[in-house]
Amino acid sequence: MTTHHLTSVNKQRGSVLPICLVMAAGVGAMVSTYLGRALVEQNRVIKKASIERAQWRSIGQLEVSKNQINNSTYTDGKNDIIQQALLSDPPFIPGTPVIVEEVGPERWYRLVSVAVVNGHVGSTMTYVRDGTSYVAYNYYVERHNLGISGSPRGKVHSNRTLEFFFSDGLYQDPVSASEGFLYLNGATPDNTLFLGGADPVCGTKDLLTTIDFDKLKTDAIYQAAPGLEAEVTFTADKQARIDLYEPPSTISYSVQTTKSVYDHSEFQLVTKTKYTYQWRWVDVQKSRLVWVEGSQEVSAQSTDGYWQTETYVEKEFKLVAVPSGTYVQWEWVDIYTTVVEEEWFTTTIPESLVSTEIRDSNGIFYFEGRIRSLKGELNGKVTLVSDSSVKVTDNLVYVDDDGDSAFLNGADPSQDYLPNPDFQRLGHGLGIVAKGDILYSASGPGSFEVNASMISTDGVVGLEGISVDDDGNFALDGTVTATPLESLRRFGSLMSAKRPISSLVDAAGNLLHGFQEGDSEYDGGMMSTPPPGFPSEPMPYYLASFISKAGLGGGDGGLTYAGTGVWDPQMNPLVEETALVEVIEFMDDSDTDFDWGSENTLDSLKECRIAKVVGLAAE
Amino acid sequence: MRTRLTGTRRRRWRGFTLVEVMLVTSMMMTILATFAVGIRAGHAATEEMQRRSVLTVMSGDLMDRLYQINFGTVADPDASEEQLTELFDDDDVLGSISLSSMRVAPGVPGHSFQLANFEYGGNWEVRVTGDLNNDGDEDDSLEGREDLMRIDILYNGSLVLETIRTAPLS
Repeated sequence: MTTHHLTSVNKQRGSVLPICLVMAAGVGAMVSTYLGRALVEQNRVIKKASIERAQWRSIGQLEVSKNQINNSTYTDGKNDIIQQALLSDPPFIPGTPVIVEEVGPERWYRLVSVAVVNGHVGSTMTYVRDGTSYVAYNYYVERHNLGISGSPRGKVHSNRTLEFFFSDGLYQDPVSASEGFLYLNGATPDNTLFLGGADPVCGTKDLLTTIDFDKLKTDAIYQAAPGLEAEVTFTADKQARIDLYEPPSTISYSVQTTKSVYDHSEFQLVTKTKYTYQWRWVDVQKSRLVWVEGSQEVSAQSTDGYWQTETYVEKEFKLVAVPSGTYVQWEWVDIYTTVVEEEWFTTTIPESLVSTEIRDSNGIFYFEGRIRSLKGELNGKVTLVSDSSVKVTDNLVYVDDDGDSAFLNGADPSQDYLPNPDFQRLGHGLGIVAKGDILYSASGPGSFEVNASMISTDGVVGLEGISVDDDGNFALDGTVTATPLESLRRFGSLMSAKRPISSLVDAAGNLLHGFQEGDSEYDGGMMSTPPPGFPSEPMPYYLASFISKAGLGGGDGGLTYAGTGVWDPQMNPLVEETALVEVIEFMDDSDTDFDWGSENTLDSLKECRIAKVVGLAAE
Repeated sequence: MRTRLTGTRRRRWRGFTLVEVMLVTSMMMTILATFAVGIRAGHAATEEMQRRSVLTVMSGDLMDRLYQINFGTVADPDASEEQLTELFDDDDVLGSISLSSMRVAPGVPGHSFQLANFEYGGNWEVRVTGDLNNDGDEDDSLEGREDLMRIDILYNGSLVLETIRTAPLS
């Protein structure tokens, strides 16, 4: 028993220190764990703050590059700053670390800005087109007033007065005029809302006369022979049928004839005949009316016959002059000369079909003559150019490969004119650029639908039969019978020198000629990829910026860079970018001449990686 | 029935030696002190991280607002107190203030304000200048332009966020 107690007491004494050590270790572990967690949290917060800061820096850098581009001069229609950047290596926008690269579609570029704070990357990118397509304008009139109402999208401008009709007008894009705004028929400044900016004293614009027709002609994939008139019909199978006609003409031709023309008179001896009078029996020709039965003529007085003049010869005893010899005498004699004369005659040659061509409905088609008929279903992207006028003779609509039209109810004004959700727009677009008028045929469908962006540099876009004079006054021109039509539905922009008029009403408001109602839809979709050669203003056009918290070269939506400034053909057209990336090289230091003046300057950019798009995630 | 203890057993049950008590006490104090310091440091760090996190979110929101307002022109009158209040108050209506109206000369303090119900208090400052590189002048490349401004957001005098904004195309 004693031994047992001693052993027990010894064990109790020796356990205190180990217990304390265990407790110390436990507490230490708990503290370490707690501090570790705090450290992780600290890193997370620092990372978040750093990325936020880097993001805003990258946005700032992008803004500086945009400022440079916005203020750049243009050479041959190209932005000098962008071109300068593309020629440098790396392709930085001068004075910034922002990289520019081509992205495939004509005139489109991508700007990528990267900033690093505490080793964390923020990046921003945007797409820019170095020119703003004229399709940005929904309405543009260069010489006359323009009247609008409703809530049109797209830019609106008149070099004269812009007239707003009716209350509750809503204008979400820039609206401007050079000679002020006028509010009519219930419209007031208070009930007209401008969300995109309004400038009633804007400087005059000169967009139409600056269009380079020579360049359009040079870039055209098709040129009609001079002097011919064209009929163009688009078909849903992505083709365009072009019929060229020699127009009716009047030609002149000459015929040579001889004529005796008095020259002078001479006093000369002339042999004359001497006559004596004698009584003789002579034959005398006479006429008389006789009645003829049977046949009928227009001149007949009776259906049973008619009177006819008949000649006969009768002998009469008369005193007649009989030659009895000659004599000579001096007298003045007129002398004539023979001259050859060229006589001109005119004749009319009817029109004749010269050729028929089937072309793919893509590219620029150039016509020196007028396009007297334009219609059909366009499944492509075309710019039609004419040195003369264009007449749209039937519906002109975009259709996809399945035959779905871009809009619904184009021919049914009782239904809303709505975008067709089934329509797959794959670069559809039609631009019409004409020096003369672009007219909707008065003999076209009563419910007209036109999908096109139209420019008349010296004329009007409107209905056939209405003339607009230099002062903007309009009237029936007498070329067609005044015809009330049901509706006009247009999808696309309209630019003209003269005021566009498609309906005429009398003093009582009754429709005399033209469309009872109209609906125009602005085609903003053509802003990114306008029809080929369609003119642009020397003004950059940006898409929305994309901001990434994932940095470069990684997944999770990190921004990417092609690295050489040349479009990677594997990259889809605009906007749909994100995703799979591959690191290919390191970025050189920027030659930036500004910095952020804080602990993390843009020098740290040299640590950034450049990545290349090698594939795209599906939308 | 009662058992008497021997002399040896009585001595062994007498208690701990002074050395033992001192050793254990000092160890326990060390452990507890370490625990307390660790907990306190961790708590302080967490608090600071929480504060910085909130500052980041808040400054991002302020910057968002400064990006949403009209850029304005040099002709815009200086921003008023009412306009600044409207811009930074707790609703999404930003008012009529323009960025240009908030512009100040380089080196000059910007617009300062305090946020109501902001748990960390402190002074916020928004500084809009043409001094892109923040070196105190507007003489360098691209500086001093009317269409390009630097925006700094400071909290209690420390820079939290900075960016640059260009005027939109007209």
